Amino acid sequence: MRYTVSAVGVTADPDPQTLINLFSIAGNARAKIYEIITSSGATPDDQSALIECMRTTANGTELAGMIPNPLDPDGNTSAFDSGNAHTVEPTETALSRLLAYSQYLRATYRWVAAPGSELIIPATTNAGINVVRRASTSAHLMTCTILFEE
Amino acid sequence: MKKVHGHIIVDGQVVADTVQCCHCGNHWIPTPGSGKVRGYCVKCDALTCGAEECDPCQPFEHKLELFEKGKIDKL
Repeated sequence: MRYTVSAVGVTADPDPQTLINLFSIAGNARAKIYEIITSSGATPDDQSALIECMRTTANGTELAGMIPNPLDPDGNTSAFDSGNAHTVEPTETALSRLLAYSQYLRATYRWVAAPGSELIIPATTNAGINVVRRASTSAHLMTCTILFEE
Repeated sequence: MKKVHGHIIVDGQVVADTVQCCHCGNHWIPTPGSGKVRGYCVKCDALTCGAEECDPCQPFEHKLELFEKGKIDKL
């Protein structure tokens, strides 16, 4: 079953700022992230941000929670939950950077995994992956979407 | 033909490919001439990210199983 979760209007201040932290609720299923989309709805400008995907083991304190939506309207509720705009960032596993790229403010970036090469979240309670803006040249709003399957 | 494991697409065009480590699942953008040393696992017949932890052969699927059973605390 495939799901999607989006965060809109995540502010930049202060960095690092998690755009979306996707984590396992009860550790009864694995998730495979196959697409990540990041963009900005701010006034177009020549600015950039460093985007990273890291493994997380604790959720931190999120300001907003987003429940993943199944792509199939008849789909089951996801075994995963997500949050963003953290006041306390999720606990990241050291040296666990799974993906990194620099995002130019004016463009929309999509990372798409080849079949069998997805980013996998293990079936462990609170284990997750976060898409985090590590640093940016200006404080601008960002939008992020994650598509994954269980 | 080089095997790629992901694509970075900007405004509908593929601008970069990513390659995945067979031992930790990490993706990176190959940058020839960067000086970054990567590895190759002959058992898995696939590239590794070059991290010291990924030098011995431990397939990522096996690591996941151990992590889920609580036998290791880091992927």
